Amino acid sequence: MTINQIISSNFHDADDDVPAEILEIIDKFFEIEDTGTYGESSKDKMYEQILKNALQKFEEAKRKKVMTWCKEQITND
Amino acid sequence: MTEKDSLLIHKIEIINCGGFRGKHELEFSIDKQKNITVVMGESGRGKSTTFGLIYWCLYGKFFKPKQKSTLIDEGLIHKPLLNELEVGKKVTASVTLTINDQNGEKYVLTRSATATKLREESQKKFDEFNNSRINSGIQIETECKMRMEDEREGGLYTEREESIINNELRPFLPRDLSDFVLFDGEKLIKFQNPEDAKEIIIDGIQKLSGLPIVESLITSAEHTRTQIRKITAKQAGGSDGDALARALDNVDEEIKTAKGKQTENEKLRSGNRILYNEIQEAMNKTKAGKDVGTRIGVQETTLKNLKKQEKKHNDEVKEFLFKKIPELLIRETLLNSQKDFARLEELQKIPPSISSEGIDKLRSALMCVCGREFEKDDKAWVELGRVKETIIDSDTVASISQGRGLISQIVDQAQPEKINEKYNSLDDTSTVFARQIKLAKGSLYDLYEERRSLPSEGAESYDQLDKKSRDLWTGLGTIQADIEDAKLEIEKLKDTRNEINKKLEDTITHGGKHQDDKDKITILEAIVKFSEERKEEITSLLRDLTEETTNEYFMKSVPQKEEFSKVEISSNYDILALDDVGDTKELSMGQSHVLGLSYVFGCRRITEKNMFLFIDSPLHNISGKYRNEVAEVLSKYLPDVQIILFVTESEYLFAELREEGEVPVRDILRPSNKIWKEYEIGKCETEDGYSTRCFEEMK
Repeated sequence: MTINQIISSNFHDADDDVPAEILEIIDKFFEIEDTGTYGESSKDKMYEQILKNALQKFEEAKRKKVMTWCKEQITND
Repeated sequence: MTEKDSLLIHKIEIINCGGFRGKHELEFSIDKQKNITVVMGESGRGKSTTFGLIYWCLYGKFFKPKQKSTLIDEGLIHKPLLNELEVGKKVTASVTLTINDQNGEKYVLTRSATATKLREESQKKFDEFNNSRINSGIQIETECKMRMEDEREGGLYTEREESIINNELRPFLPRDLSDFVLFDGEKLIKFQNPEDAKEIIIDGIQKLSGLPIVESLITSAEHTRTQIRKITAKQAGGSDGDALARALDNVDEEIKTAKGKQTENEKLRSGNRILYNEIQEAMNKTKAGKDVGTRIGVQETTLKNLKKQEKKHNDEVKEFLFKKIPELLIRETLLNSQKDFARLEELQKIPPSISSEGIDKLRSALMCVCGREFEKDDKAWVELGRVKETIIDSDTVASISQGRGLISQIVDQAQPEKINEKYNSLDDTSTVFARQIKLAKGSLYDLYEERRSLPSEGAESYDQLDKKSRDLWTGLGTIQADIEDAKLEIEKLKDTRNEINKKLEDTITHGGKHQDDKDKITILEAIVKFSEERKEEITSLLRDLTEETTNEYFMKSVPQKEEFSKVEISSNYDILALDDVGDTKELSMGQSHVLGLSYVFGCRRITEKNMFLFIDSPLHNISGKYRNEVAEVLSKYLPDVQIILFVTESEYLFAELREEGEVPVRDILRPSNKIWKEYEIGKCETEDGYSTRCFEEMK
């Protein structure tokens, strides 16, 4: 992957609270974007597949932790 | 920065491209000490073509792509070769770059375009591979191949797959960062006005940060979220959910259409702007055509007058020299004579001063005159003879004394220091005349070149072009209004979409099922918000970094640096140079060019890559001492960077002598010992007698 170092470190070093699982998902999204060859509907399918795989992998506690962070992220100003 | 991140372009080979017919090679410095190579050529000679060919070879795109509506027939492939092409025949144009790393040759990249004439046609069409209008019966195909290292086998092997070539080169030379390795010096003028430079700064920040990929991620995540939401709502909310999903689809479709309209209009605006500029250029040429003859006449008169003045001055110099050189020579001779007299006197070879003895002898001799005539053997005769000798001797002494006095006077009057002073002043004036004449000749040459580049007969007249230009301008206004309307419409539609999304969200929530889908939507929403925050953060970070690095170069290199306290990039991306009380300081032309170069140097630092730097026309739009200032910066502040400068003859070889101390740029770069080689793009003949541009090393 040839994602700019500035972007990569900014996402990864942004905040200690960001769950590693979210960063993993974002990295996978970046990989898809970096190829620059997929159309909108292909990307939808791939994004959804990544999310599906991630959710399947999560244990209950981890899922709860990730979802809590997501909800806080959405509601925080 | 690692050594791996350092690439140099060692050689370029051009075959049948632009004004170059046949094969032409140019070698660039890979010497870290003598790191500058100069490529000189007058306007229209092929400097920018060469610069653009390097870009095309590296990235497979044109540096300045033309629009379909272009009026220009000159493109990638040497135009006369395309014109001469017979049906069924082919002609190939290619560019090969030899790219080195610290160990030597690393890649040999060749990009070519082959034109085949399929049939006779009288019409012309725009060809995107040739970046110009070409005969409709010609088809052009491009190819790219690269010889590169095989780490397992050693040596070089050839790769023809463009995607593999791109993947190999992209980490070193991302196209987004092309501005910082292949810089168009004409942009430097924009740094005189923060408003004009803003676009460059924003674009630079975007490119440096790679933000487009973040924007793309946000768009995709939003889209996926909507898709999941629609499907889930259909499943969870029955007919309500289905209706909402359809409403969302409709709004999305409307947004897509509005965006399409906006993009189409933006493309049209961009194309029309380019065409407008082309027409303006053509108009200028035509308008110039009306008075270029007058301007040539004026310049020829100036040159004639200068030559006349120089001749007058030379006559003055001659007269001075004719008058003063003998004086100096006489002085020299007489100084020697004085020495000789002193020596003879010392040796008593010249008589002493008239003595009392001599006078007595004379008196007694006179007293002896007693009324009778002396006879020859008379004792008195002998005595008188002795007196006579004494008189002669005494006359000689007097003459000698008088002569010596005269000699001293002449020697003193000659004043050699004053003669030297006057001569030096005359010599300085001669130098000024010589330079002015050289400069006037340069300008005259420019005008001749301009006259040569005027549109050929049959081209559109000034009035026709003027009408086209006015129509385009009016059209541009309408297009701009359409773009604004589309933007407003999109905003409204987005609001509607948000409302529908909210209802969909409620439907899903009330449905009480589909937890995974709800979580997917939540995760995507959180990722979008997080990415937007990161985007803002990165933009701000990059602005600070760009400000810091630009400031560093600017403060050490700007002329009259004591007048400045720092460079600031404001929150709305205005780049400002501040004085010691923090007020914005207006920049001179030279200072604004230095600010532009500082920005480029600073951004290169952020990329952490020590790549080559080609600058097309770094001295364009500036004159006199400002060129000197820019040359100083180029020679001093990027010591290890491979720099290739594309300049015109008048920019490089001549000083305008408007201000004291101004010298030709070459006189600044050469003594800095940074110049490796200087080339001139000239006119040559191929072996088979065709006219072509060519590279010649300057001695």
